[in-house]
Amino acid sequence: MDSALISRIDALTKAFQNGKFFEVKRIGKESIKDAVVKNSQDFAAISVISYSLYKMLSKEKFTKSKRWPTITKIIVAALQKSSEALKKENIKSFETNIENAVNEIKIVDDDLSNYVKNIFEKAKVKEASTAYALGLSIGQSADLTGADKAELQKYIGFTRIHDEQVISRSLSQRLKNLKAELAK
Amino acid sequence: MKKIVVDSSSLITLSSNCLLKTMKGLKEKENISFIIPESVYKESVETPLKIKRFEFNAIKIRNAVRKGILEVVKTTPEIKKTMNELSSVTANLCSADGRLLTLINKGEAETLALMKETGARILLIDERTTRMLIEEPQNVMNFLEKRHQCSITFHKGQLDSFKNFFNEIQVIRSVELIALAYDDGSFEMEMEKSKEALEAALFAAKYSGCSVSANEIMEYMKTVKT
Repeated sequence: MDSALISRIDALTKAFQNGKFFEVKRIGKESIKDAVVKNSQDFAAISVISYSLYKMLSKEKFTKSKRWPTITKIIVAALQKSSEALKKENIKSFETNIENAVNEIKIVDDDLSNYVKNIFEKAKVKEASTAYALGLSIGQSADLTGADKAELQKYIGFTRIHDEQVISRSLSQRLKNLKAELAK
Repeated sequence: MKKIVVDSSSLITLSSNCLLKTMKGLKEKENISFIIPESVYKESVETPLKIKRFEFNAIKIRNAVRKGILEVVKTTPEIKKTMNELSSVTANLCSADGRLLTLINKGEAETLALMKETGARILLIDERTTRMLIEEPQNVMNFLEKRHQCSITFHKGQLDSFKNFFNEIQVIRSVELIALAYDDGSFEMEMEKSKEALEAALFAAKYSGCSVSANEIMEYMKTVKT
């Protein structure tokens, strides 16, 4: 039984139920950090769900919708059941309920978004980019979160991650070395 | 003929910026053979061919393979063995507060295994972590400590095994390949030869995820003659 994961899911459920979107966002950040250190796809899934829920909570088109109370109920129930399943060490039920929460997010996104959809796919890329910023490779970050590698790479390209890195060998130096190697 | 093993990160950068023709020019002028592992082909062509959003890029890469610009190397039992050895080494390379960190995935390990098995001495990779691991593992350690704000330990035995895999190899990124193409004229197969076009191509690579900083590009551009 992963008590840290259970606590995280419970905290997320409570924050989401109370509409505390910054708290939901914070839980997402903590979860991706844990996912990186523990190489845990479960923590990564919680981080992606958290980020999706944060995005939904921060948009009135979702929260002011007539369906929002029902949507909240369904997602909360799925999260609660996933936590209960973990306590009973029922991994299959845990996975099914996480999947139920994800499916509900996708349905809501599809129904209530006017132009820009794919909150869940974007959340995967966002959390994967955090994993990359924390030191994982692009492939490992994509594997952990389920993000598409090409989308992730493009997203990273628009961040400042690569501008902050230590330059050990400059472009000119590498080009010089390449030419020397090719001339051998 | 010089072999350059191409990682999927660079393939994504070059194909999404329509620079595969430039690779053709480089292949002919510099006598280079660009090779990719089977897993990279599957990841870059076979899987995205089934998704409308990614289909066009997949077709571009498939065409490059059909035209012989890129060569796909089948995963032999030897490559698989090396890949497994490398995966095992990289999975035990370092730990954060006593917990093992898995920094690279199997696809990246297969690209590295291909380097070893083909005897290639040049690796084309836009991805930062794998490149840093090969070139300066100490920098990876410092980076991880700063990011995770905890104690990072590199396991010396594993690190030495990793270093032994990659003695004296040259690691380049898409930007160096573009710069080389500009110098030898291969760039003109795709674009006019002008400083403006070169700078635009280098920044396009950066914005496609190549791990290069804007400062590096600007510094390099100061040295380019028209």
